[in-house]
Amino acid sequence: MNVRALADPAIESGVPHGRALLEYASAVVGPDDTRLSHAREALRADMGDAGVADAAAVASNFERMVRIADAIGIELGDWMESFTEAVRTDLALDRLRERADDAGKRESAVAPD
Amino acid sequence: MQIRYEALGVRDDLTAAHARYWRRLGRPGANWNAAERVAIAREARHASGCAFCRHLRAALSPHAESGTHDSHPAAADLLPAAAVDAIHRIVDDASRLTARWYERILAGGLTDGQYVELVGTVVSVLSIDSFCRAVGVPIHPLPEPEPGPASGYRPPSAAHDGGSWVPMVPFDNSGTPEADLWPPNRTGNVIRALSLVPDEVRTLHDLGGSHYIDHGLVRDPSAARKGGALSRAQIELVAGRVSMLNDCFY
Repeated sequence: MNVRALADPAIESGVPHGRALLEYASAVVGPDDTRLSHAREALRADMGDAGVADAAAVASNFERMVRIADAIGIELGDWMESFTEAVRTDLALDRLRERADDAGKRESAVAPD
Repeated sequence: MQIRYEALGVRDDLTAAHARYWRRLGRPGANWNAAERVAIAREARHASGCAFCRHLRAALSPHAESGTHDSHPAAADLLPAAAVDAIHRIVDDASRLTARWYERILAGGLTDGQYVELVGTVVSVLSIDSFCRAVGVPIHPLPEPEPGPASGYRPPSAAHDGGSWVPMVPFDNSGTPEADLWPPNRTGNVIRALSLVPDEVRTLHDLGGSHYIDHGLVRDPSAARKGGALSRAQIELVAGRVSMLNDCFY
């Protein structure tokens, strides 16, 4: 799989039905019901009802997991850090951690202890 | 109430996991009674229409802004303001939560156990609601809360160990009442995250096992769901895109 497609769905992922799956995942996260309806029907045409249902299950699972990570303030841990190093570099994921750190720094500047 | 997804290609194990969670949502938890748990769920649904949350999302420094969330009328009687703020920010702007904000939530009157159970409740309801929207069916009516107090259970082994803002059960959980949560020393912080309320981790496994893949198989890149419609590569493509759009560093 070309992981750069996660950040830019115009890039070919190398995964069967990748474009339809990426568009559906994007539409599930976004607020536009019309876009979601179109993406669902396109994926259904590619993968059938079961494909839509399983993709919906995965997408909604990660709507949950990302919020757990953010709301509990977890650290990656040594295993996760090393396991995901290549992907993190490819997708510049550490900038997201820096963004959260920046929010904390701005907060400290506004309301110091 | 019965949960059904007829003629949608939804696996029976997924429908059953949703039904189990809906029953659990309507029962007393460890830190909140059932009426409070259902109020948390209702508030999570209400948060997406909150004008103050929209203002916060647009702000460079969301924690420096002042204002009041548009809360559901039923929340005022059952949930403290700190709980309402936590629910709204977890739903609407979770990637910019900070340790200092969490400390303010505790100073606002929530216990760490109440916070962890609130997080588990919000994200489980949000996930099942998101699934309904994704497949194009109405969200389920919330369950009727059962009577009874919260159990007050707190794992004796839970402690701060630097892996998160909250106390967690240690990686080596052998010989503890929480030994079923993961094999000793073989899990990640995202699984331990909710372990101050062990039933939230059990829910995580139950929903995660049917939505995604069994926890024990996650680290095996060749593992996929038997009889599932997606290959492991397709599963990870969807998972990665959703995480990316949610600005998740994990």
